[in-house]
Amino acid sequence: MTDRDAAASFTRWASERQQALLRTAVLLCGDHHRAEDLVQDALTKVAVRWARLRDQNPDAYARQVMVRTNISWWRKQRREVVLDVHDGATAAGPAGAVDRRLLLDRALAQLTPRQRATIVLRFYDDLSERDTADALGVTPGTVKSQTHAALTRLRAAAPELAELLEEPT
Amino acid sequence: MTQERLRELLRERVADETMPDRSARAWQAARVVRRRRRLGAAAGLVAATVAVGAGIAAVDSNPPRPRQPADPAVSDATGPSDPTPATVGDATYQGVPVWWSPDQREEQDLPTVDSPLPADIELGDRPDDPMDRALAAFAHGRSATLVGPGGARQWVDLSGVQEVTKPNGYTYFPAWTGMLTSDGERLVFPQPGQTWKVYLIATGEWTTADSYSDDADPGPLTPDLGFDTSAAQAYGEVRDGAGSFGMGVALPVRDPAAYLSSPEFLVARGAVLAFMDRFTRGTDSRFKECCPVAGWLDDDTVVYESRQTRPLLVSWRVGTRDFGLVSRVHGGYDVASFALDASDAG
Repeated sequence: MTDRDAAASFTRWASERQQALLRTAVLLCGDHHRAEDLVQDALTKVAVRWARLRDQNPDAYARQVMVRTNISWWRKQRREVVLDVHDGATAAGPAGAVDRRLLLDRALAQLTPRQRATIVLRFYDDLSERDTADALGVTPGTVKSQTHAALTRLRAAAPELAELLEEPT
Repeated sequence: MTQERLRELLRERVADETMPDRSARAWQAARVVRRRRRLGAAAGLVAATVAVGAGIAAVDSNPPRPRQPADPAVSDATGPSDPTPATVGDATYQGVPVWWSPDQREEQDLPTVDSPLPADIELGDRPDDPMDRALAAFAHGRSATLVGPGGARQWVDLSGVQEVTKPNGYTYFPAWTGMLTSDGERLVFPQPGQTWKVYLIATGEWTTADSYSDDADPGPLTPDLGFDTSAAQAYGEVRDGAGSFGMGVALPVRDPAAYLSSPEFLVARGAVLAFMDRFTRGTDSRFKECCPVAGWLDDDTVVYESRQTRPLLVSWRVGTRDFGLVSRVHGGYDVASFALDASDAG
């Protein structure tokens, strides 16, 4: 395969997938600009290995890069999660999309980056426990326990959200 | 909260998120990365091959211009981090510039440089700081101390790792310079039966595997630089084109009366760094295979271990006389492994 062919096939893949990767990245880190950086970094790393990845699973590798880069970045920043979900949240009355978005952002901010990634990969990207484990570099058992812990924490941290999302009776 | 509702909420949250197409930019950035790696490897190969050729060292006060590594296939790619081949060293050997390192005592007095590693690394206790990844691992006996970002440290019990027996009957404990994977997330040890014992740093879990993958560093475990190992044996890991070699080549030294001849040396991007080993009376001695490459602080600055009575990590800005003290290591260790590359400099 010539360099031009490789460039064309990579560009085709990246153009098709980057919006989906961006959405995953936004959920992983909660910030659009930083999400763009995560996507850019992941695309570059996929491109470096394109000769090997193009016939495998470049999506999975890109997700893995984003998840691990985000966790590493979070640890470097040593950012503490101190948000209070009750402060200023619009809990009463019918919630619009903006309210739900605000509540979700605040609730996700209560999670550790690994818990947050677990939620995003399992419930947004609909990955299996095995694929989620591969992305995170942990065992499926860890994914299971992290999922349970994350859901428990979400419910505890954002009761308004839980209320909003109750199944209709 | 039901899981299905959670799915809907997550999708709603990011439904309107978009970004400009970055595919072309990513491909161009990848070309720069690939080019840099090829140039680094090519420059190392050229310098090593020439340096170990037969002949006697000749100190040349008017060194010829070194060869420029070329890669026409990617010659249209440019980048700010392209390696610049060395031009003027402290001496030359077979036309290749040679720089002299500070000797083992001078290294102790180098100015401290900023790095992701702490200035002082303690190995004597059993810390238990949580970390997702490590920057360095120091094995001592049947345990290891991990050093992570922000100075975090974690002691790891290696008693579950078995000794390995070579075909010649030699049995050894398989702590090695590549035991920390290049992403810093695992320790890996070869085991009997061609299996691997793998320690996941983030979770503290041990697993056994038939193999392991290290995407960021896919090179062979034993670097093959086209080097005539009958003259000098490569040791340690090769990191982005930089590797270290033992004695066996008659490189020039600063003062033959004061320094050991045929010094060990490091090859990086077309330049050779000869390790000055001062004669002492049994104190402050460099160890055999003194100076494995640890990694890179940035695109121009390589880090090597200075294994001696008082061990250090030392930085060298390749092709200059700019050296710095990265870390002092307090406490003995058998072998160290690093996941240190330019991206960690932040």
